[in-house]
Amino acid sequence: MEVSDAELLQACRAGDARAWEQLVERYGRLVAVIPRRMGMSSIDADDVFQDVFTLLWRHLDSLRDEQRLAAWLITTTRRECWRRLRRAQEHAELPAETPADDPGLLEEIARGEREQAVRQAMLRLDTRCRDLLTALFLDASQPDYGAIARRLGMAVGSIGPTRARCFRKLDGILRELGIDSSL
Amino acid sequence: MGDEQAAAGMGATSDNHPSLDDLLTYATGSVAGLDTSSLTTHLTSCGECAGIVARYQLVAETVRADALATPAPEVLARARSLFQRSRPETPMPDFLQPVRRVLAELIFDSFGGLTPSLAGFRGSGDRHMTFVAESVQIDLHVQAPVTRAGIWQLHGQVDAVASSDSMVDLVYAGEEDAVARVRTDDQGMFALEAPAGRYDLLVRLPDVIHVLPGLSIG
Repeated sequence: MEVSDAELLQACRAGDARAWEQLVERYGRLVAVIPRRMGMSSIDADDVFQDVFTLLWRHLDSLRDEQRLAAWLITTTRRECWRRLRRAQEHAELPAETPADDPGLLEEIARGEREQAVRQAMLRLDTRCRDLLTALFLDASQPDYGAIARRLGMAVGSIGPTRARCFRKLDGILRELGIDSSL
Repeated sequence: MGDEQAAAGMGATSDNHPSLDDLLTYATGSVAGLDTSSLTTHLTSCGECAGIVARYQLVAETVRADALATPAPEVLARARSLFQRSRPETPMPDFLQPVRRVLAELIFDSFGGLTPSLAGFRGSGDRHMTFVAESVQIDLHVQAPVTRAGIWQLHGQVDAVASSDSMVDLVYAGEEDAVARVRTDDQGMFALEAPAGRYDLLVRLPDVIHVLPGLSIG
């Protein structure tokens, strides 16, 4: 059974370093994706990453809604991105938007929470299914079934049926996590 | 999956659905060999199958985005090691705690002035400023009176370090009594009104007061 965010946060507050590492693992990709989507360089994205987890670390005691950790991280990450982008143009006019009235924020939170559910669902899959789906998704336009089959030690002919079986499992987990037809 | 019908396999009851394999192939966009027109028609009227396609595409997009934005091992290691530092304790009640005061530095001013003590607002028009005090950034936007004669509007935001529930006081310069006091919202935003005068803005965090000094308004 997966440890909840609230349990991890409580363990962190109690001084459990392993719980902190799990939080970083769980939400690292969610935080890393946002600055890249906002067009930031990998160096700036790394700085944002560090800033956001520093803020989380500092705010462990004061996070009020432990169930919305993903939303807090998304909001905080976007604000940190905005801050850096604005500093980069320190002598220019400030952009009209500020993080708080950023019209895309709610959409980004919804998207980020859906993507986070996908990451959780993928982690719940067995390794074989996870490896196959990842290989197919990364090579989505024209997946090379031969190469994937060789890499994963499968018969080429079994890839299609296995994909369907693995996705059916994944889809079941996604629905459990509240990701349904209302995407 | 073979001929097994997709939505039926996913728990729907109708028996006229495409196979799951066809739906997943369709979702990837590599449609050679598929009857795409009948699939497309089906998807416009079948929420169950459209949901399958949408979720498959969501997973694909997530996996691809993550592959492009995976934090480097050293970045992850730095974040993990944060826990080895001593973390600020939950603040004591105000009456038990000595509170430091830190003078905020003006780092951006849309009027061009960069000296905090001269951060005045004489003249008309809006003015944006950004202050930094330790790791906290405070944005301030001052608007000349528009609807209420002589009353200036101050809108600001304290960054995520301070986040919500900070108290912001506008006090006459060098004094302690608040002319206006407001709590930041959950985005760190605040709004104040004040007549012309010379003020300090105090941002009260649990363990420190950040002082934006000498704001001459009007």
